[in-house]
Amino acid sequence: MTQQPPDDTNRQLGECPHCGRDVPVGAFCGNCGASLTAPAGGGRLHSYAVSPGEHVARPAIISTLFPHLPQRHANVFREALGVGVLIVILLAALRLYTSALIASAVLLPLLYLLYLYEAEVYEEEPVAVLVATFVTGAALGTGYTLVTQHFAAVALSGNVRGPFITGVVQPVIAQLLMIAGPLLLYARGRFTETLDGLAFGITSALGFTLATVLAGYWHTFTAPLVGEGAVSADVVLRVLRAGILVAIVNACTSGTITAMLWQDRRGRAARRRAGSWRGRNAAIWVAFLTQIALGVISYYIGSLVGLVALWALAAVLLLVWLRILLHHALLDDATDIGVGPTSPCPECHYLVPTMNFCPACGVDRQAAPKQRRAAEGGTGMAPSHG
Amino acid sequence: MASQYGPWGGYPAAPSFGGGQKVGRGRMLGVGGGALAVIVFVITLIAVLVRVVPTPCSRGCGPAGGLQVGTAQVYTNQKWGYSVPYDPSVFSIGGQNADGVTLNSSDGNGSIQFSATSGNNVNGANQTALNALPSSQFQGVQQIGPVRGAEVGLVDGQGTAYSGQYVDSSGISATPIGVVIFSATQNGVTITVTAFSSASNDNADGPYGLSIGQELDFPVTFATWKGQ
Repeated sequence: MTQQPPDDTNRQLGECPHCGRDVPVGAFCGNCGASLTAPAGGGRLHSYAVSPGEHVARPAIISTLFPHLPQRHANVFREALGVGVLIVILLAALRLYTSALIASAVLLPLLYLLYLYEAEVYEEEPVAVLVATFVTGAALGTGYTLVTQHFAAVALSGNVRGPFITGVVQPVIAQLLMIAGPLLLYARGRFTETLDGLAFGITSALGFTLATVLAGYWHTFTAPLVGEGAVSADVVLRVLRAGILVAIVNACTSGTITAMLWQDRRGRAARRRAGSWRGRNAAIWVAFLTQIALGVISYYIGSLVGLVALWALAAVLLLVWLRILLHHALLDDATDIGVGPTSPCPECHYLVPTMNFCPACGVDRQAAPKQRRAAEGGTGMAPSHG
Repeated sequence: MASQYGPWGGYPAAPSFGGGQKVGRGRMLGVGGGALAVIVFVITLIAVLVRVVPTPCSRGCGPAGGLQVGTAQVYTNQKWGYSVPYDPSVFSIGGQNADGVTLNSSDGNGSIQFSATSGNNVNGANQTALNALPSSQFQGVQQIGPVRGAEVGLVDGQGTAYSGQYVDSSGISATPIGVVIFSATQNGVTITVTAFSSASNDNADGPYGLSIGQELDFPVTFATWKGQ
């Protein structure tokens, strides 16, 4: 309580009971991110490290898959996603099947590309990153679909492929292909943050899913128009499942794997116990087993409503699981970088000492858009935990 | 000045926080919405332009060569006493139970199911068969119209043709299909036939949009009822 921070805010320092460092007083420890006001503040489950106003276990799409967006910017993407889904439902309800399915398949990938532009996750290498993730994912998705369709052409009567091929082999291959592109970037070692890995995995998965929907459903787009039109819940359900729910599931499983790989690469998870339930291996197992479970159960489910409910439940659970992993990964990522100069927090907009976490709202500065951190770096310290 | 300070530790608010937002509401609407509209429009346009137009037969389009007598195998249902002949080079038994049998086409392109029940409610049997199609795989099923000349083993029946999509169990691909469901009844037994295959674009060669339409003829026409 005696030391003064090296800036003009003249803040008092106090010892954090969790990490033992002298940090500026506030609601959160700027060094380790622990809550200094909650009774058990170490894990701070009430306050998600990316978006402190949300509980960690909240199944939110934007703050989970788009973590670099501050709350104000996130609202724009949240509104766009909501409007986009409404447009998809409207098109499907009007039986504009082709347009509805294309719109549902394009919606999330398009939003994510805008997010990459907004947050500049790719830093100075937008082309290399997009080619390694989105383009590679889309190319592999197209190839995967064409190959499986070639074999599936003799499977209409269900007498060739059984639950093992459909429910186990195909999902495993698809999952491997979804993370193949990001692994190219992993090998280069240029991008080091956990959230980099997350973004690359999600981008690749969304490119893969978009390509599989367009290639896999192309025959239905070009089929002769028959039948009488009427508003159909059936069409709405299958479009939402094929375009939105599958994309979220794939984004979560792929993002989980790549985020944990990225975090693990520099041994920053060393503080965690070996064999931890939220370690790299656990994340990989959960991702693959989820894809397999969905594949096997989907094979036996006869009801479209049941199928959509299953995928919606899986999407919700995976979002929560990914948030829990990310939250703890960001807390674990924090290294002792001291107390930096004052700068505006991108989340709460208060002038706070630049540290791993905002002492006022608790947001992880690693979750700030990269260009913002680069600007801060020009005047002092740009926290990247790395 | 007190209003300048936040609730968490008394940190002052940033005097003017531009935010550095690159994708605001205007750009999201213009770029995001515009891109979505253009992509959907272009892909839809391409799909419509390459859409296959059904080609009705005009002349010289008789049935393909039929099955030679003596090469057929016969499935016999013990419970209801009916029999279904089929060409083993075209169909194989994919499954059977006490009431009937499922014949899968050898090229995997379709399937025919025979199922019998007691009573003479043809429409009810057809509806039961339609409801039995798993909605997770048979999606977008729409009625085309009645199956004209529907019969099972030379016994007149009633039925309906449908179009739809067969979605792969993995959910990654969909195939346009044709489905016909029809039933006939005799002596208190109703036999229902459910057949589906990939959709045919040739109205003459593929009646009711079934690419296995002609193969369907033989087992259905030459099925025999109990006592025949």
